[in-house]
Amino acid sequence: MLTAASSIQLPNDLALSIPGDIGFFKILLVISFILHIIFVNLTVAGSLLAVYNEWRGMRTGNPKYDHLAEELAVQTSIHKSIAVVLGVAPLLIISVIYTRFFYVSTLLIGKPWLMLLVIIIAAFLMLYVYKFTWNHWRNRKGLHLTFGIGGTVLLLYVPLVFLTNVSAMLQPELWVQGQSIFTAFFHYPTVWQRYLHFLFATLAIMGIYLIILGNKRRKNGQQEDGQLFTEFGKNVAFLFTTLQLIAGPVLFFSLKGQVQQLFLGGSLLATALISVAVLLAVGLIVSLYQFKKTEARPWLRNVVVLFALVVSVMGWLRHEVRDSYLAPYQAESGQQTIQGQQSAAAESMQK
Amino acid sequence: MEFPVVEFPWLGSGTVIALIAVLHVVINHAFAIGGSVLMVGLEHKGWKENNPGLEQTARKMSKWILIITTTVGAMTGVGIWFATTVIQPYAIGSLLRVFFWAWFVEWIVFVTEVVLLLVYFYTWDRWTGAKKKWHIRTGVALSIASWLTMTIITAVLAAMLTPGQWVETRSFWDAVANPTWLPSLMFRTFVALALAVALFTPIMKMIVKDDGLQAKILKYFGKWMLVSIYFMIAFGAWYVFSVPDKAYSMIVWASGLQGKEQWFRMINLGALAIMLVMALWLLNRPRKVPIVVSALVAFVSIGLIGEFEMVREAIRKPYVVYDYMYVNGVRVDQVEQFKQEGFLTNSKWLGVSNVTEQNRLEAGHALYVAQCSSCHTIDGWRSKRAFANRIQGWDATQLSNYVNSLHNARYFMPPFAGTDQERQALAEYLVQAVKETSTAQQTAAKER
Ligand code: HEC
Repeated sequence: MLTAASSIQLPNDLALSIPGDIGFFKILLVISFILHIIFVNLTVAGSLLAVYNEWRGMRTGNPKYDHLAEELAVQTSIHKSIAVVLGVAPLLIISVIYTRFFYVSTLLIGKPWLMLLVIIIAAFLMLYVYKFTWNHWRNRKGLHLTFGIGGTVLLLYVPLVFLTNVSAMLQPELWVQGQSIFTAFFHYPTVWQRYLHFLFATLAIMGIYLIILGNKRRKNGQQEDGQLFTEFGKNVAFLFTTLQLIAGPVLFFSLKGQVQQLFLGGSLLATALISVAVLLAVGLIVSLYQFKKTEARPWLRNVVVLFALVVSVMGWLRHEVRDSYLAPYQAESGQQTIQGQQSAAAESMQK
Repeated sequence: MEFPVVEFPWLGSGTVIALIAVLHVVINHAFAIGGSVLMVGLEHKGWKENNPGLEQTARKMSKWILIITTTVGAMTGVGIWFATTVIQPYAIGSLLRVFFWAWFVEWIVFVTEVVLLLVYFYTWDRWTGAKKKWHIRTGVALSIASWLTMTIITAVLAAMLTPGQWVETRSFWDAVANPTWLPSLMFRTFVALALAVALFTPIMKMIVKDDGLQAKILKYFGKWMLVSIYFMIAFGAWYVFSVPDKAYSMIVWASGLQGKEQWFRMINLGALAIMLVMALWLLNRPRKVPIVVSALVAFVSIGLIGEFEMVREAIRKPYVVYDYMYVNGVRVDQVEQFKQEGFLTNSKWLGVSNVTEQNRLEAGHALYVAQCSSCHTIDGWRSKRAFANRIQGWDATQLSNYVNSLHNARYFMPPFAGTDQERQALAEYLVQAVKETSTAQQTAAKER
């Protein structure tokens, strides 16, 4: 049964009030989401690059790639546990302060949403096999790599469902019941653009992480490892941060016209945020380029500082996009809640 | 009502949540909570007695605890939340608001728990000698953190059955300090320890090859088991006597042994007795415990905890939050309104907003989905909940009359919340749907 929402079926809010200041909740949401997504990035890119390097090692016969891949697999198995638990807070907050939007968008993809559990468990178990059999299956590289690829492919599917959910929650005017998840991927206009932006960010963040890790290893006297990590990390980081110059605008211009307008002068805050974000990103690219060429410490410091700033501003920006989308519906809801309270009060007086 | 409904026509909504929840509880109680205690206990014992074998065993345990709790354990925990969002959006949405800050603290404890587990697992080689103390302390902290996560979640679970003063005051602290929180927490604490011993004993019998070492470990386990069983029984009794009377009277029914009280008693006492026997056996003749017996005890204790969770869920019926909200998401204070104004007019997402001559079946279907499908199916695997089985041969008038007194006929069902016309449409739809499934079955049978 496919019922298009001719009139938008936006729920009324639940009967219980939100237990705190919404502004404060939003700050918590932005911060906890940034923490969560960084570890998600490290997990997804970690497994992707582990698989890539193992394959490279098999093709070239150069053991250094295999070693790099193994290190990545170990790191990934740590990051994924942290990514999951860090996700609890943002999920909690978004459920509480955007209930009317987030619950509908979740329920519209209810079964695929539940399937994520099975998929993530399967992915994690495969990646544990991948990690713990590295030495055991030295002579069965094909089998070993299959587990890595399997886990990685499953992990790459997960964000698509999450992005569909968060795209859908922003556009009640597009809600449709009875859609398959694959139709939904294409139904909401920002899903794939967000996905591309996420994918590049994931690899860029992993690159920067490897630079830092390589640096630490060198300090600990592990010259070879350090060299290996930094070398690979800086190339990946530079490439994918630069590619964001394409993915970022692609995403931006897929947003709803009215929302774009806000970021192009319509709202001072939004415009300032996006300008700062772009400037910082360009600064990061330049620093990465310089670091790639010189490997000089001051450039590394710039990379780290600018990276932290870019991630923070982007996290905030993302939130402003959400609230810009929802603003018209929120304004409506304020009235509904008041009406609801009045009728409840009237009812209780009658009793 | 406000949200779209997701139906599980064959499994039934309740079963979906139950499957995830029981799996989570078994893993969380046995591995994360009880397992951590046994693991650190063995490490400490090994260190004190200078017995590297014990330490090696603790190390092996830590690997499996890490793998299982960070995959199936963590994801089924999040999974209960996912599943309740999909199946019980009104209930979980409300509980998140009532317990927001408890859940927020829970998040911090969770993160701490995982970090401690990772530190513990990755420092076996580094924190030795003088630093060994720190490794053990990390393990102790890990056990405490795991237990704290349960402390908080148990408050929420207990409040669903016994919200106590909260129903009137709506105060956070009344919700947390509800009448069954403490008894259920203490009960679960010792269940976790007993379950951990029950599950790890057969594993130890398989992986620890050295007889002397195995005996030492099993004897140690036996002590924990014995103590846990006693406390489990004591706190279990306290817990059972603090649930609401109506809920208490439903326990035997909830276990599926209605009318067979003798069996209910025999099965449960028998299961406890087997566990007790094994505990004593482990203590006195650890090496003589046959692996078959230990495997049996493992199964029996999983069965017991599964039964406990199912019963706990079932005796709360018809409520999801006692005295506040019914299982189908209708709040107690909404029933009158829906009876007068109509349920469909007050609902979104159902595709029908009132009953007309043309849409009777469609409207009936919408009412079924919204008000009955959280417990019933048309033709699902649980025959007691499948209408195809329960109301075969009923006619619409009969059923409509029955639905009128749903909550009086059977206490565990919520009152029907809609107009008389809606009730009639619901009955017509159900009778029709049951007819269709039985004709479909007959044709299928003939074709074979
Ligand atoms: C809170 C869960 C719950 C909800 C909601 C619920 N039921 Fe039931 N219902 C049950 C249970 C449990 C049984 C009995 C199963 C058993 O006998 O073990 C039952 C049994 C029945 C029976 C068979 C009664 C008999 O005596 O043979 C009918 C008819 C029925 N329900 C109709 C409905 C209708 C119609 C709705 C929706 C308006 C509904 N129920 C909603 C839990 C529920």
